[in-house]
Amino acid sequence: MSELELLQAYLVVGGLLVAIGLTGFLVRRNLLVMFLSVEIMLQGVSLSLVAWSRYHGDLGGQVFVLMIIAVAACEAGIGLALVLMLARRVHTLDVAAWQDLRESGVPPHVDRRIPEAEVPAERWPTLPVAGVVPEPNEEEEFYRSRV
Amino acid sequence: MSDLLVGAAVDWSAWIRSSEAVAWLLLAIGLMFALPRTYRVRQRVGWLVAAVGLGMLIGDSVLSSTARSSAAVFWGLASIAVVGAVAAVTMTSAIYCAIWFAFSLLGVAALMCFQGAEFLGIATLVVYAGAIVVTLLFVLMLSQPRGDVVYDRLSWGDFPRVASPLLAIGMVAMLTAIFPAALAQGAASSKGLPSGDSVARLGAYLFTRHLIGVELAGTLLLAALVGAVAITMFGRESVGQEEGR
Repeated sequence: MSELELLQAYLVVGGLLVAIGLTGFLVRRNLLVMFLSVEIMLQGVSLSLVAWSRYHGDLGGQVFVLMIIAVAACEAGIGLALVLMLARRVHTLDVAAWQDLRESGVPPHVDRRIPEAEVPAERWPTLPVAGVVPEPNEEEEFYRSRV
Repeated sequence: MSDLLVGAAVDWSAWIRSSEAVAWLLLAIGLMFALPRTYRVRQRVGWLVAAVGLGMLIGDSVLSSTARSSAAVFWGLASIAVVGAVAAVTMTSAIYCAIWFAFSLLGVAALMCFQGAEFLGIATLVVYAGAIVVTLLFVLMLSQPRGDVVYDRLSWGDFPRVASPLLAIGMVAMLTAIFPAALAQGAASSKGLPSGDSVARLGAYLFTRHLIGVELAGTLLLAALVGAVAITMFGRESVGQEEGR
């Protein structure tokens, strides 16, 4: 691959990683998965920097990536300690537990409704057929699926 | 920079109908359906559609490349990184997310080595996969003993789930479409890194020109260490007070 082609391919992959990480950060509700999404975004940026560094023949990009790794390690240490404390306080990793965080005296404001959980109907195993086939009892099956 | 973007004339109406745009759209739609919502069937369909989109992109790039073998190696490594990232973002169980993230890191580290940055590739593996993912798994096991919880099976409501993949992937797709025209205009010819021992050169460069930066990064790491210990200690005290009340 020519240098220009290689640079373009690296930038595409870096951009894709940033896009995927951004999506995960905006959409997921688990604190740890949000943290992972941020790390994925950092990986994308690092890849682009390395590609530019090679293209321009300048090692500054690689040094910058080393700094990014150092800052990411700090962020991981402090972030995970915070997550641990938050999880101990409310016994869940859900960010929605913190969306009504506010000062005392300020009226509550919930900016996003938590989506409702839909419980799928469970399928219970049935016995093999023996003797006369019983009539299907719809009422009984209705209750059965919700045991 | 503005010269590049203004001067880059891209025929958008032709681009919309190209197979590349379809591939990006498939990738976005696949990501949209793969993000967790209650039914797993839909999630599998999402993974499949995203894989088809990614395959189309890779196939286009490899076939249009002048050196197919090196392009195939590059896109093989890149697909490890991207597939790992998609799975890390969409898996319902946070432990699987962490493991897929480590898989994605393998791809990223390999891409860095492919680019002549061996030291960065190894450092990424050691720092991320070795330290951060293990710490993450520890935190996960300390804080979440149960497996399948509702906030993992459900993401935020429908609007963010639909809008964010479309916007994010669309942004990357449009930048990709602008890129060749912009570069053909403004790019200086590549110098490339000089051959030789890349680690030794990086070390010499790092400890001469960026010595203060290295010292600052070390100080920052120490401060973060102290901060993490402080958060854990004082946080535990205040939780104890609240529960004792």
